[in-house]
Amino acid sequence: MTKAEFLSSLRGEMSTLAIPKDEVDRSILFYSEMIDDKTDEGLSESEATESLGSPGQIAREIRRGLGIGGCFRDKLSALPKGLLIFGFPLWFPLLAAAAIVVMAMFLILWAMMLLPAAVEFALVAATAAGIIGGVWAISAGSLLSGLFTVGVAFIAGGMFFILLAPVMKLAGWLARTSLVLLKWTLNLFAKEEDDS
Amino acid sequence: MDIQVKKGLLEACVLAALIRGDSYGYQLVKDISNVVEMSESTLYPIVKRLEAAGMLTVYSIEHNGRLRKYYRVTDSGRERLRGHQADWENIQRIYRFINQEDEND
Repeated sequence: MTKAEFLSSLRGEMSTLAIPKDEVDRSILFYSEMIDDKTDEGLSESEATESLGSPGQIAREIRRGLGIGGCFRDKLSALPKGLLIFGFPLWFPLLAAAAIVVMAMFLILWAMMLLPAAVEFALVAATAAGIIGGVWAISAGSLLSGLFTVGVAFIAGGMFFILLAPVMKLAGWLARTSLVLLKWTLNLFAKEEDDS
Repeated sequence: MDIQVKKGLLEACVLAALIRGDSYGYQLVKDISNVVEMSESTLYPIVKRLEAAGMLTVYSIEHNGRLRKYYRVTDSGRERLRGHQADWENIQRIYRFINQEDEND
């Protein structure tokens, strides 16, 4: 093959494989120079082109080197930053919506944790208020209503203690779940470790 | 030689060759082929990758009425080569295991 035939064949093979234009141009330059260097050294054009192998094979290797998303990756890096700015009305609302969904999930978990805590707190308050109020009522003369109030206070206190264990368990579970959710969210943004 | 092993070594070879001095494609192929078999189509993706990673830069010099591309190693490329060189101890140890030289350890 002559140099021109080789390069033209290589170009054709690369177009067939849908290799992006700038990559095609770059490789043509490389191999053109390689042929020139070899002919400078004394090889004939056909010897030089033969030593390079088949254009089809070279093209396939280049395609393989670009990877599956290679074409798009190359195109993406060539995207002007301006496009990113113009696309802002599209990708920003989507990103914001996703962020709000994640935040909502966290808020729900925390609300679920606050509710039992609030109940327990209310029971403590009821117990205390009941005892104080009841004792005052008794000392003020209303024995029956005073005793009733103290009784209710004790029921509240009892419920506090009964509910304490399950509430702690729930709080623990919710804490663990929100931690898992946090890790998962952070993972979405973490870069993959590459040991190349 | 296993192709994966070879791929890793060839990158180091290119860098090592450039440390000795700036060079161009065909010269690199010749120099490295003295030590390990390497073809032009093997060299191309390697220099492409190294350039993309900032480990070498490219410049052109006129030669015989045409432009010839020269490669020059960067500081980052020197650092990468040092990394490869530092692997030598580990590689030797691994090969002792592969060659079953440490059976009695």
